[in-house]
Amino acid sequence: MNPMKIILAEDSALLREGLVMVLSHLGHEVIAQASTADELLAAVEENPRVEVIITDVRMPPHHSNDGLEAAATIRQKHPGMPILVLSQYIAAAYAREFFSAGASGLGYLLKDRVGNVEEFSRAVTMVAGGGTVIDPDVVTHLMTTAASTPGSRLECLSRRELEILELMAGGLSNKEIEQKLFVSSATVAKHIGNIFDKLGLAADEGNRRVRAVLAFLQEH
Amino acid sequence: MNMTQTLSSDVDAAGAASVAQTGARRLDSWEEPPTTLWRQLRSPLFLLTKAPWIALLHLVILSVVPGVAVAITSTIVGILFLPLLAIGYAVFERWRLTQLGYSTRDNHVAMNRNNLWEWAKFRYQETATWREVGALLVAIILGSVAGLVLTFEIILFVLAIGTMIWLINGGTLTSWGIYSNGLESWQITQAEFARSNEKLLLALPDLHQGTWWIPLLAALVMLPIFAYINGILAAASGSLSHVILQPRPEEYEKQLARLSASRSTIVDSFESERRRIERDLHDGVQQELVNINLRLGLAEMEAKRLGQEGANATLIQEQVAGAREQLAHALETLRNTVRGIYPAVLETHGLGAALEELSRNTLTPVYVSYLVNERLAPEVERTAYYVASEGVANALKHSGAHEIKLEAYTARSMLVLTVEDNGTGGASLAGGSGLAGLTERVAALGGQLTVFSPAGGPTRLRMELPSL
Repeated sequence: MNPMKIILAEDSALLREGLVMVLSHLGHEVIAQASTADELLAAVEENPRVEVIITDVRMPPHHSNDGLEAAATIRQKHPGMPILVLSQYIAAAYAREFFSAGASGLGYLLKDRVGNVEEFSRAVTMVAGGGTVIDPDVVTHLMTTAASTPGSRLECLSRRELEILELMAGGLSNKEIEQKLFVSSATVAKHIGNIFDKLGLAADEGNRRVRAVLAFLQEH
Repeated sequence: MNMTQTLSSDVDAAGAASVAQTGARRLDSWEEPPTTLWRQLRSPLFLLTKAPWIALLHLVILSVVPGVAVAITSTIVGILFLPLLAIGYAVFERWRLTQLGYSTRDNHVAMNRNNLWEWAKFRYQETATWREVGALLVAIILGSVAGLVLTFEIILFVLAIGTMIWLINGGTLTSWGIYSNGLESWQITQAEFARSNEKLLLALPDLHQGTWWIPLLAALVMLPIFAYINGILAAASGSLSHVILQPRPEEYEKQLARLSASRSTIVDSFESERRRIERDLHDGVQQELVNINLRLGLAEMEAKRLGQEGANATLIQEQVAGAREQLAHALETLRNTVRGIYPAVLETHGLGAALEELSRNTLTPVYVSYLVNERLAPEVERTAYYVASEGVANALKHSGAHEIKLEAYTARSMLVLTVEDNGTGGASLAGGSGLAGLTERVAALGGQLTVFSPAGGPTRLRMELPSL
């Protein structure tokens, strides 16, 4: 795993400390810490070498969705800057808004997931590499909603294809999907190919995987 | 696997519009032109319908009002209860008006009667109440008139029939008529009793055994005349009452604003209390649990590393994994609780988004249909959310339902929210249910909460709240 330079924003000192501990344990370097949305914005300007930003959602000054707003501001100034948002509470409406202006290099996870250090580590790496990570909790909900909404593009997917799309959205690789579903790599590849076809995603349009995951997000 | 399904907030506008119109029609219906007694009076078939009898019945009822009202309010203390009596009378009067063909509607601001003192205090300050006092006073006057008219009618009728019986039994009445002294006074009498200065104005036919049918004919002529008199009187009293009691929407709105202001303390304290609890949970126990989760995660990793180095760490790994699982469950439960107390998404993204969250993480599917296009006032959205949240929680806990339907739409500046399940029913607003507290809150905002839940189900919870 390659070490990364991280800016961390979290208003609870206790949790900030815990997160720094985990991140250092994983070999990353926390180059700046912030406890408010404004401090985060300032820290990003002061540290141009930052590779990933990890931020809490509910922070001063408004104790509302300050972290999400700060993330949007940062992405406007620095397009493509990888940002992983951690939240005590995830709403589908927040997720839709957060991913609405392009999703590559963005992640949105429940704070609970941090406890699974490997999963957390993978999420950080994926976001840093331009991938997209959406909390399984939100994904499941959005999937069932989209699949049952008349006129949705996801309506044409089979149960199995939906299941695989869901795992993809959770950030799993083909290999991990194989292990999870006890199927061969050929089967997974075939299903994923079908998903791409049915959603009309041509092979030459860049990151198809991410766009497949986001297909349903954009429909709402 | 989450089985929840949700219709998203941006359902097609046509659907929203049609629902809104249905609602509007229903609320409008009281303004439709009624088939009043006046219209029936104009009909040539008036005498053949039941209208004259209804009019008679209403006059009889109306003539009782003065006696009862005066009896109750004749004491010094009793007069203080006049407005309350008027409110009760108005309920009756509105019923009477519907019988006469008018559509009526209560113009009082809806409130619950948990606190009778608060209720009475507000009612005494309401214009609608004092209009009802006016209606009662008018009814006392009209009731007296109705009493006199009815008495007069009864006397005339009994006199005619009595005369007939008297004639059949051999009575006679001869050389009689209307005598007058040429000035203002006149009398019906026999020639022998007329005073010297009086002259015969109109001679009336001699009455004896052979002409017994004359008073009977007179009685039969009287009846339709009485029917019209009664009809006109009843219709006039109805129209007058209707004009006095007719709802004034602008007045209603003003009262409502005043009520909201005077009760805002309740809502405010309710709100700040919830906000405080949510904040305490978020800043305190939630953060600590997340941090414990994080430390356990590190311990798990360490144990794994030890295992890989050849140490026997299986037991530690199992214990830590078990603890993390339990902790994940605790966090999940806590998150659901917090969501019910004060959901952040409600503030930022409105009721639709919050209801969508409510429908998540339930094993029983909750179908949400949200047909409101704009953001509503914060206290309206919050109240609606709490009602929905409590309603869904009750359905999940007690009803044994297989599915729950959650619907919200606006019609005629009212937000209507219904929670419907296909469970076993038997729910009520009384007692320790969380809904009891919400009734107060809904009432404080001028709305009302009703539960329809017969034993055996289904249960339908309905909230109507002014969305202004």
